[in-house]
Amino acid sequence: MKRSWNLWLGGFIILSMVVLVVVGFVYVPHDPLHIQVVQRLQNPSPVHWLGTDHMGRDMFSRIMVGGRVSLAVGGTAALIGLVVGVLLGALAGLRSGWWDQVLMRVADGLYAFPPFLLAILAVTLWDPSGMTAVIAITIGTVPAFMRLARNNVLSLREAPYVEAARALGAKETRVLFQHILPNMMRPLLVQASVSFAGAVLAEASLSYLGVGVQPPTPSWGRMLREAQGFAGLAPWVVLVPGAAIAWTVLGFNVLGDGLQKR
Amino acid sequence: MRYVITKSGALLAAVWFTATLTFFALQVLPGDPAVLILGTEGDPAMLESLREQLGLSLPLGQRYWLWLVSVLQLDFGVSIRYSRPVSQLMASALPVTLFLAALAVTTALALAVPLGVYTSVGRANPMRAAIGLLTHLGMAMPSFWLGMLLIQWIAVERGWFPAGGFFRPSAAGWGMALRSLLLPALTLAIPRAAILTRMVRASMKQVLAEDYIRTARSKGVSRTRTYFLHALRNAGLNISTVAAIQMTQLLVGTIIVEQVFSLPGMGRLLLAAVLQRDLPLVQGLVVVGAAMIVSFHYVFDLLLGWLDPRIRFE
Repeated sequence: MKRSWNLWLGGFIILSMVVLVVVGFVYVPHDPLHIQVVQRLQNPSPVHWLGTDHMGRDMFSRIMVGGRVSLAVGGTAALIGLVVGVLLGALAGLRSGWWDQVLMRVADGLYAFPPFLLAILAVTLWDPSGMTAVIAITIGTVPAFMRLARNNVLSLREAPYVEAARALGAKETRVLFQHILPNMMRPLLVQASVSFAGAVLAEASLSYLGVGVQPPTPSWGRMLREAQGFAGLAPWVVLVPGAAIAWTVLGFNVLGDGLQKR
Repeated sequence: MRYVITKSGALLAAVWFTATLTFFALQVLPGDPAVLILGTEGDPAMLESLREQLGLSLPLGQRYWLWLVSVLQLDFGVSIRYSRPVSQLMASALPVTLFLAALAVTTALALAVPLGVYTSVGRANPMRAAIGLLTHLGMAMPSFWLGMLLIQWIAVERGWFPAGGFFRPSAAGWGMALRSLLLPALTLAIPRAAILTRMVRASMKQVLAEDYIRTARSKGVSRTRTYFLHALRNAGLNISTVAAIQMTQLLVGTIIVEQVFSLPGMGRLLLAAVLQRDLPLVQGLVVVGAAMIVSFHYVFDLLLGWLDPRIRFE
C-alpha cells in the first residue's frame, strides 16, 4: 500500500504548532499582556510580526502563549479520555453482562449530551473558568473511547491467539495488556487524534462565548471574542487567531486520516 | 404497531429522565440556589423571601412533584432576571432557532449529497482532490470564526445581507426574515456539510463495490441512474443515520452562531440564562431542548422503520 501523505502533512502541521508553543516558554518577542493603547491595531511590521490588537498587545506573542491553552486542553482531553475510556470500555467488553449494560448506557447518555453543552451548563453551578471547561470537555471525550475499546475487545477476545494465551494460563490483565491492547492501538490512536481536534475546537468556542478561559490569560477563542468589533479596521486581529485554531485542528484531523489509512 | 409503542415508551422515558436529571442537578448539587443567585453576601431577609419565592422552603419530594406537574402544563415558572414567564420567553425564541436549524439542515444536505456522490464515483482528479481539501478546511474552521468572516466580507463590505439581528416575518416580511438568517444558516451548515460529504462519500464507495451495482451497469442501466437510484438509495440509510446525529450537533451549534449574529433564539437565551444563573430559565430550556432532540430522533426512528422494515424486527 502506498505511503500515506496525510500522516506526514498532519505531523508537519502539528509539529509547527508545537514548536511555536514550546519556543514561547523560552522566548516571546513581546510581553503578551503588556497593554500599550497608543500602539493599538498596528499593521504587521518587523517589530510586531502579526501586528497588534485593540489594546496594543503583540499578536504574535499572544498566539504563541495562547497556544498553550489549546494544546493543554487537547492533550488532557485526548490522554485522559483514552486512558479512562479504554479501561472502562475494556471492563465492559471483558465482563459483559451487567457491567456492560450499565457502562454502555452511561456512555450512551453522555453521548447524547455534547461536551460543549455540558461545559456551558456547568457554568450554572461553578464560575466560568478554564478548569470547568477542561473537565467538561474531558468527560465528553470518554464515551467515544469506551465504545471503541469495548467493541474491539469483544471481537479480539475471541481471536485464536487470545484463546491460545488464555489456554497457556495467562491472567486476565496479562491477556488485556499484552495481547488485546496492542492490537487495537490503531483505531484508538485515530480516535485520540480526532478527540484532540474536537477538544481544541470546543475550548476555543467556549472561550469565544466567555465561559472558558478567563482574561488576562490569552487564548485563541478569547482573542477572537475581543477582536469581533475590529474586523473592519484591522482584519488580521480576526484572521490570525482563527487561522491558528483552524491550522491546529486541521493538523490533528489530517493525522487521524493518515493513521486510519495506513 | 408494536414498534411504534415501544419507541413511544422510550421517548417518554427519555424526556422524563432528562427532566428529572436537570431538576436534581440544578436543585440539589449546588447547595442553595438562593445563595447562588444573590451571592454569599446577600441580605438574609432577601435570601429568605427568595427561597419562599422559589419554593425552596418545601421538602424536596414535594418540590419535584409540583415542578413535574407544572412542566406537564408547559408552565416552567418565572425567569428571575427577566421577570417574565419562561414559557413566554421560549415561545418568542423557539421559532428563530427552528427556522435557522431547518435552513441550515437543508443547506448542509444540498451541499453534501451532490458533492459526496461526485467524489465517490470515477477516478481521482484535481476537482475531487480540491473537494477533499475543502471538506478538511470546513471541519477545521471554528464556526464563530467563519461567521465573523462572512459578516465582514459579505454583510459589511458588500451589504448583501444584514450583519446581524433577526427581522421577524410579522414586522419585516418573510423575505427580510429569510435574508437575516441566510448567513447564520450558512455558518452553521458548512462544518456539518463537510462532515456529511465525507460520510456520503464513504457510504457510496461501500455500496458501489456491491454486486448489484455491477449487475445494474452490465445490463445497461445508465451511470446517473445507477448512482442516484441504485447506489444512493442504499447508501441513504447510512447517511441519514449520520445526518440525524449531526442534527443534535447543529442544535448545539446554534448557541454559538446565534451569539455571533445576535439572533434572539434559544441558544442565546440559554447562554444569558447560564451566565446570570437564571435557574428556572436554564431548567426550562434544557427540558424543552432535550424534548426537541429526543422527539426528533423518535420521528426519525419511526421513519427509518417505515422505510426499511428490517429495522422494526431487530
